[in-house]
Amino acid sequence: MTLSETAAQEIRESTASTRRRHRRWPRANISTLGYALFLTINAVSLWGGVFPFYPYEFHTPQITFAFSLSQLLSFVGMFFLAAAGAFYRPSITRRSLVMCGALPIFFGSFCLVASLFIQPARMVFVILAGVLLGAGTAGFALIWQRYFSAVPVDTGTFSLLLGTACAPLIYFCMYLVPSAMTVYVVPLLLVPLCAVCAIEADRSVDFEQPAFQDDPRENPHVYRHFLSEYAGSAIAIGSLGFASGLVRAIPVVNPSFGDATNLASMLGMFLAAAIFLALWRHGTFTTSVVDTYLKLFPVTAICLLIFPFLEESALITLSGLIFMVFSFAYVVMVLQCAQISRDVGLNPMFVFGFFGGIVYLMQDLGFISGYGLLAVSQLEFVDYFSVALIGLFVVTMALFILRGPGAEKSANIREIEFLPLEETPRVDTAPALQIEDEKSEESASAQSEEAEGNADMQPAKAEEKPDEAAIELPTEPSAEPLVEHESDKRTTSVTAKDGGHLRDRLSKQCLVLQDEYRLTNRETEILEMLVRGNSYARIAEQLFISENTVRTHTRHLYAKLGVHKREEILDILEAPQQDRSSDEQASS
Amino acid sequence: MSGIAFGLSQITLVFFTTLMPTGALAFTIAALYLMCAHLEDAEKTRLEKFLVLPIAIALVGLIASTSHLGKPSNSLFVLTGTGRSPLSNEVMASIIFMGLAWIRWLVAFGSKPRVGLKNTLTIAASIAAVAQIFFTSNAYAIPTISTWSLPYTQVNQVLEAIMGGALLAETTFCAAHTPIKRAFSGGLLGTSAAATVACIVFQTLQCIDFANASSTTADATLLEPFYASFIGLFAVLAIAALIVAFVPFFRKQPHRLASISIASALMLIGIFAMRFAFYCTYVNVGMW
Repeated sequence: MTLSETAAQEIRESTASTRRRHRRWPRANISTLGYALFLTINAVSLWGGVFPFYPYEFHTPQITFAFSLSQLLSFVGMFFLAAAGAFYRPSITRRSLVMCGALPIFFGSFCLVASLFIQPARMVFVILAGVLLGAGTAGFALIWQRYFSAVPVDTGTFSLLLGTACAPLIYFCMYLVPSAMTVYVVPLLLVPLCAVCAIEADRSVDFEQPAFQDDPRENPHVYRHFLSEYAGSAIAIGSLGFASGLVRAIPVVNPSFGDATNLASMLGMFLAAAIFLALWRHGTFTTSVVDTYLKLFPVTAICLLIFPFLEESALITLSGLIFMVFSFAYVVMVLQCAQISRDVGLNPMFVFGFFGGIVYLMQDLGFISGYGLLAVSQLEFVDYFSVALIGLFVVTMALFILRGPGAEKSANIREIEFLPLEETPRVDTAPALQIEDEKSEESASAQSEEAEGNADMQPAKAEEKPDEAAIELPTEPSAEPLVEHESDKRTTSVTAKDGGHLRDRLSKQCLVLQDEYRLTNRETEILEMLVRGNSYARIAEQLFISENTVRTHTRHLYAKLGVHKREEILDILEAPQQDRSSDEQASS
Repeated sequence: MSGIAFGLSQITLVFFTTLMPTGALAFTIAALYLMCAHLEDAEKTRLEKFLVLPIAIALVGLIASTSHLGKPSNSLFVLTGTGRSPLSNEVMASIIFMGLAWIRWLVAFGSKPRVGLKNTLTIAASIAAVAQIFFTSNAYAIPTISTWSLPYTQVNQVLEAIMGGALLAETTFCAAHTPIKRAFSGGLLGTSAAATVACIVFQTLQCIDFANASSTTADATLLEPFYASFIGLFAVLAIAALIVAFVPFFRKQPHRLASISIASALMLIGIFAMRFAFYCTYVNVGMW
């Protein structure tokens, strides 16, 4: 570990130790209830989750398969439609779309009830119900994703996780409702309540953000870059979806598996939410869908490997485990999509539409493959061997795509970030900058010089617009290079991409500010690039985001730092931390 | 089947007859007040949202009552008996009230004020609530059940709805921080107290009347000690609820939500106990 890395760690630990004492969760709001209700509706509506509440004669393989397939296809179709709509008609994503989720679920549920009464047209009603329920649940998923991506990061992440953790409780309460009523409770009670929560939550969303206002066709490179960067991640989660789709086909021929997979699904989401909340409580951390996939891959692979060799009772548990893994990954995917939208400034419905479309398409393929194999084989013996083999092949191929030869680990993948929880009252921060002893200064300086090579030491000049006027940078010899040489095409980002590696004194100062002012990794990257004299256009180009997004991050940055122009950022950077703390205390 | 066993087998209907009329009346009081009183916009909005409290109470009762329906299609078959079956009338009235009240609550979240629609729904839901209480009380005046076919059965059910409904309405106002006049608040508590006294009297009369309700095979007078003990429990809980509600009212304490909530809970438990005892007194004219 280099001295600079030690310094970075000390900064983090020092600041973290002072923060550990007075952490406070963000306030839960109505979106928590709404999201929990949505996940419950989802669990009861998707995959024939409502079937346990229907008479036994309803559970025929034909009905279950027709319902599940029509539902899944419309579910996937809705995701791709949303992605296309967000790209070609972004204005649609600024509208209140709650009814696009509520009405299809409402009418879909009644189509399912109608199929009980009108037996000659039962299959027509079942398919219609599947299509409507699939479209409705996907619609709600997209609406909630839009909300969580558009609100401040703390509020969004906390509400999402808390709602996810609460959903199993509401789901299990559904078992207390008399079965004759459950099919009515969902469309008449849960769906309107969820819609009301979504309408109320949407009122706090600022649709003037670049993610909603920007026309994607004006920044196609940003979207292209996103697609190329994240296709692997989506396929990775999709491979877990494929495995879950395979085991979801088993209840069609063997209904005893149905309840187990439903319960495991809710349990997986609960575990994911509980683990992330516990980790967040403990301190700040980052993760990503790729990390999660790499951790979950062995579990899924082992489950699939031993799948054909177990008794049916153990198979039910194993199926549950595979679905639990997917549910866990789904929660991470939702968080990842929100992070990408916020950091890159992409329309959240495009991001989630893309991820959800790929993941659920692969799940559909898994379901169809599984059903095909099981339906063909059930005359003689249930061919779990082929099911396991094809599942193992797909999850392994995803690993190959992510980590195989030729697969480059991208530095631009955004990690899901859990900022340190806010504190009240503000604690006295430890003198973290005291670590700026002579040795570390020299070491950082030397390392910086080595890294920068012939970096231009001159102040940056105004490049384009008046509001982007480059700051007057200190020219004294002790100052580190504040702007990169034009020929230096490396990114200026430090904290996010170098994993906390300190390149020079300025990087270190930015890192201190990040901890002190709860800046996100993206804001810290932009902070550093700004003080190095980069223009908005340059920053946008280097980070593959639009200039509007850079402006938005800068606005957030200024608000957090309490400054109005770049020069003031330099003042903050140069001021010893004790001074900043006392200034803030005095002003508060 | 013994009386207590029958009462336990009908426990979901005990929940229904306790919660549904109480919630319906509380909703009616709160919604009519919202319609008629001069409140600030913020106060209106808040009270509109808190109308969900009586609706939720009523809804729990309605959902509980469906436990014996078996499968979803049966619930619709029950409705086909509307007009000729008191049970179907009761269910239909409950569903109509619940539907109207639910829509009234949902309309409050719309982007437009829709005052006319809200008022229409409030009036319709209030009428449906009264009908619900009427049909529920009538559903138990069954000629073949001698202990239920007494003149006090219906009166008691209406009084129980008033006892609980008035307190629950007061709880709704307190939860929503609605500025209601002291006289109106006192009127609600007074109504609940008067209904409590009347209900204890009529329940006692019903207990005494069991002597005239014996069937050919059962002696209903044997039920008197059992029923009397539940009247005692009911009276204790109801009076405790009223004391908890009245003390902060007389002390003019501004924040009474905790006490009024406890009072409502005590009152609902008391009504629940009395309803349970009522179901336990099931004596068919032909058999025990």
